[in-house]
Amino acid sequence: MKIDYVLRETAINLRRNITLTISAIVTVSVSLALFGSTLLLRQGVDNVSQLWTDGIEVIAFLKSDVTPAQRQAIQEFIDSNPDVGKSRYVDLKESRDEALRLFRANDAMRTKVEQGTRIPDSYRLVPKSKDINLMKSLGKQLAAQPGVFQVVDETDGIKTVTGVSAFAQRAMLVIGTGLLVAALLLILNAIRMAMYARRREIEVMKLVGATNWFIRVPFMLEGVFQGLVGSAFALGAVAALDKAMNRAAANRDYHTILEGFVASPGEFRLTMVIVIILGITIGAAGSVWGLSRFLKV
Amino acid sequence: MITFENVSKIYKGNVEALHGATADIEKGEFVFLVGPSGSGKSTMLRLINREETADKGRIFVAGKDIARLSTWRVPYLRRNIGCIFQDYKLLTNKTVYENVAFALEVIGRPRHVVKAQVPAILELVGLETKTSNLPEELSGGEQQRVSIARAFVNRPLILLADEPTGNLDPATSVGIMRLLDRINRTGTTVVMATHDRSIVDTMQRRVIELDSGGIVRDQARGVYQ
Repeated sequence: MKIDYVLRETAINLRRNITLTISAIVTVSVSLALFGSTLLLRQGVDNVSQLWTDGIEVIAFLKSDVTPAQRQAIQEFIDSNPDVGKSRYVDLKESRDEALRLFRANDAMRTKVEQGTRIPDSYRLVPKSKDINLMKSLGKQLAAQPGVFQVVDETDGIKTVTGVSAFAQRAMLVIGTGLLVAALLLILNAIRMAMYARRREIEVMKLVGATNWFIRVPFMLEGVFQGLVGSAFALGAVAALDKAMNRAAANRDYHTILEGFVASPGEFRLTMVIVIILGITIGAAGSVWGLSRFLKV
Repeated sequence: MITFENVSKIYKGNVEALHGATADIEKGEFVFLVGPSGSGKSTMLRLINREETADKGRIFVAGKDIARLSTWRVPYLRRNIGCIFQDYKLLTNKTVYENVAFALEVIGRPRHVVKAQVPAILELVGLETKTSNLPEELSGGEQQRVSIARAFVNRPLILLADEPTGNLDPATSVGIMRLLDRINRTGTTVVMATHDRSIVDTMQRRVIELDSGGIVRDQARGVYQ
């Protein structure tokens, strides 16, 4: 098979069927842009839940009359416990500063703290595992230590976050798969229409003795070109979404909420690669499938 | 060159297009297939080209049982068979030159062969001045000449013609028949389905008459009747 013939035929076909070429490219780009955006958002949801559960702590507030010996015993219990990842002691001053920071919008509470309400000192533990049962058992053991006033764990919070995250991820997966299937059908339909418009040409090629592969290759290249250009536009749209998220995350008002939601450069690149590979594969496979019925002469 | 041995072809809906057809066409023969519409003429041509396959019987083309050909070998069979049609089947977006060159390019002939053979065949069919025209800029007779040039440029062993003069006036038809006769004289076997009584009667070649899918007459130097 001659390369110059194949390239020339592909170029001529793309130019002469410009309307169908454009419609196939638009279909690929819109579908893949939606799919790529869903992938990126799914990654964002994953990052946010990861970030949230990473920062989860078990807090043991100490009694106001805790003795140094009791504190020493608590410290030893924490240091020797294999389930504890990281731990730190938050003294009275730091607790007060934290309370002032947290209540900065709540005048009544802030005033109380400023007027001298005691905020107890505490131990903050980050467990090695996010297993809820393990966290609860750790909390119970801590609460049993003399000198401990109250233990606050965030198992309910973890339950909620992991539940919401799992739901969001499933929803994104369903939406993404649905979009991909819709994209596939739309692209196949666009390619099939292009094939139908050229069934006479295919019939003549068959009649003069062209092999199936000889007929397929220029159509496949055409499909690859359409898939590639379509995915390039889709990449533009996904990149614009990523940029918008980065810009929004840079804004101080939304920083805390959106910080984790932004995909990392690595995740962004992976999404790009997936979109390009999908575009090319859909284009080439769609052409071969679209052509199959016209080759049965 | 072409042998039909008790061939039957049944289309969907139990329509029997051909039943028990037996005929032997020698190399270099010129054969007319005549008969009313639906008698099985086009089916015979489509079976030779393996656009269709027989349901019963065997067909040999150039010594090969074409039912036994694997799908990937069918294109190679077709390279030995040129086809012309009543509606020309030209590619409307290609010029006269490109339409003819296309037949060589798709079977992988080198560029220098295409450059040498296409002008020569266009001269043979009398279209050397119309190489850059699109089919729509040509008359019906000229379009059929392009179709003949495309079918013959590869020097096939067999030329199948399905009512090639069906859309042409008598004078133009005579020109087309002269061309087919000339091609036949080079040794190419020509099988032509036609309704044109005057052509068959004038040329006095072998006539195979079909009726309701059966061969009812096979006559050397016959007439239409």
